[in-house]
Amino acid sequence: MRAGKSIWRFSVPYIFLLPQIVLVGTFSLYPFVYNLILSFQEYRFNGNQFIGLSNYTNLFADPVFRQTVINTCVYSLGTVPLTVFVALFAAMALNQKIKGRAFFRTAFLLPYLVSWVVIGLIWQWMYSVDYGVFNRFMNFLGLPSIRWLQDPKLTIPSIVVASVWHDVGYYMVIILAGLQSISPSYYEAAGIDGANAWQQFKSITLPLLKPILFIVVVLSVIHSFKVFDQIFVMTAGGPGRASLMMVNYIISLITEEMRLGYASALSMVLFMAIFVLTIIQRLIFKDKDVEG
Amino acid sequence: MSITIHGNYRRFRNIWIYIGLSVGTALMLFPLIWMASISLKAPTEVYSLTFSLFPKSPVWSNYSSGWAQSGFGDYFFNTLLIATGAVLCSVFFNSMAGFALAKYNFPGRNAMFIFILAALMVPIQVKTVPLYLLISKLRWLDTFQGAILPAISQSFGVFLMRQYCLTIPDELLEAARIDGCSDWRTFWQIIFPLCKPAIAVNVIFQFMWRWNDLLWPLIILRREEMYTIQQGLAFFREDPSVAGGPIMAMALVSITPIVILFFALQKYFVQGIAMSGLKE
Repeated sequence: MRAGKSIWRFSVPYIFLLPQIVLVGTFSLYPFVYNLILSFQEYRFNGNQFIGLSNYTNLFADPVFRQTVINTCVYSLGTVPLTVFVALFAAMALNQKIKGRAFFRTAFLLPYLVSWVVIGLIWQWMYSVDYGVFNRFMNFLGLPSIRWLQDPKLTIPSIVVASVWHDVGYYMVIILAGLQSISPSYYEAAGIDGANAWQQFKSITLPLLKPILFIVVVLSVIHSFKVFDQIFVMTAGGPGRASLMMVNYIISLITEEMRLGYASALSMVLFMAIFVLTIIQRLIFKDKDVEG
Repeated sequence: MSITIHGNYRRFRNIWIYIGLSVGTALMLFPLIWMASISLKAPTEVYSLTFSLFPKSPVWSNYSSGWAQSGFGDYFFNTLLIATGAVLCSVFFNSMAGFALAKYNFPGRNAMFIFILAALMVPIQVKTVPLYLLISKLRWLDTFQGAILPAISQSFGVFLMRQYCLTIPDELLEAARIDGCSDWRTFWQIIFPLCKPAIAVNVIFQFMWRWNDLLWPLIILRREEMYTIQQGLAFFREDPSVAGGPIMAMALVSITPIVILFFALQKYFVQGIAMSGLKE
């Protein structure tokens, strides 16, 4: 009786953890390991065949893959700096003692609530060659209409603008939290010493905000590597493959071509990129913890 | 003297900040306002070469015709079921796990914490193939459990709950134990109510992620009557029966649950985002 009771006491925390462990094991870690195995196989209905590194060697010889890597990097190089700059400026403006701060913060955060599908719908309309607001504005200025999403050179930049619009509020809130953790006494002391706004920004705000800014950059790079929905809705990867991203390629390999082993190898490459970035972020965060 | 100079400078600077913020706000809100505007326009006005923000005579029937055609009622209901199911399951399971990790000492605790955290490293984009194979082997294609369970295996909420439970004093649990309160009752009647702020953060994020998700439903919900609202919008955007006003009306309807939840739990939402920079 007593033994039964103590076994029960011992197992209580395990019972509390059980559902989550089962979920994580079944739907996160098992698929991940299986994905790794699949990436060395060719998927067939009557049993998979082990083909060594062929998926990977084929991948690096695949011009479509190369194009999606380039596109994803271009997209990332466009969205990350723009998003972080705009978010930093907005956060600094909102960190001042002004009226209506809550209103402005809400306005900047609203697009973040909206799904990429809806954002794709709206921006596709705004970019419409014949009926879009952007071309109405261009014509109003006496300039010719532009094929925002149909011109291979402009399609990624046009999508970048929509993505920045969606994400800015999110990163602004993170940066704002960082700004608010800087003690006002630094600024007071600098003010007494006669430091102007730019000097204060350069020698107080920027150094103290550096860890947060770094995390924001890493988060948004990871985020940009996973881009999928807005491409799916706005351009479907077109014109041609001018805006085809890595995840869009993975999904089309699964849903259209059923080349599952090949898609797994591509996922592993994407995972490695994200993994390296996550490790960097964790290391930086550890440093910050140590500094207190 | 120096105070007035300072005051003038501050006022001057604040004017510029206001101008900047107002322009920013206008740019942020314009696409949403434009969507609302199109949702009330007649086709002739949607496909018009002149710019008009306000529809000449609002066509409210865009909302009813969008809803009636192409089954948006079904998609809305499906999404509500998936999002609510995911929120309930993950809030419940995450809280249990977070509580155990924070308040019990047991062999293997760190290993289990790392095991759960590792799930955060594997985004769904990276495991779509095996998940698809697993779900089809379980014969869960086109089912709600197939849409819900894989999506809630990520551990954002466990981390959140663990951090929050750590702030609850051990004396409180000790007192409950001395009073003869069982572990389950301690969790359900003491910890759970105390963790409201963390639960609110978890609820709003889980709901938003599931509601707005396109990728996972796209892979496993193939039958039209199982579509989510995002799939419906994505697939029918060029369908002549709803293109233009009606689809924009449905897009606007699709964001209302999130917007309502946001305004109800705004404080927690902002805290949750701020945490991803500070704590994650």
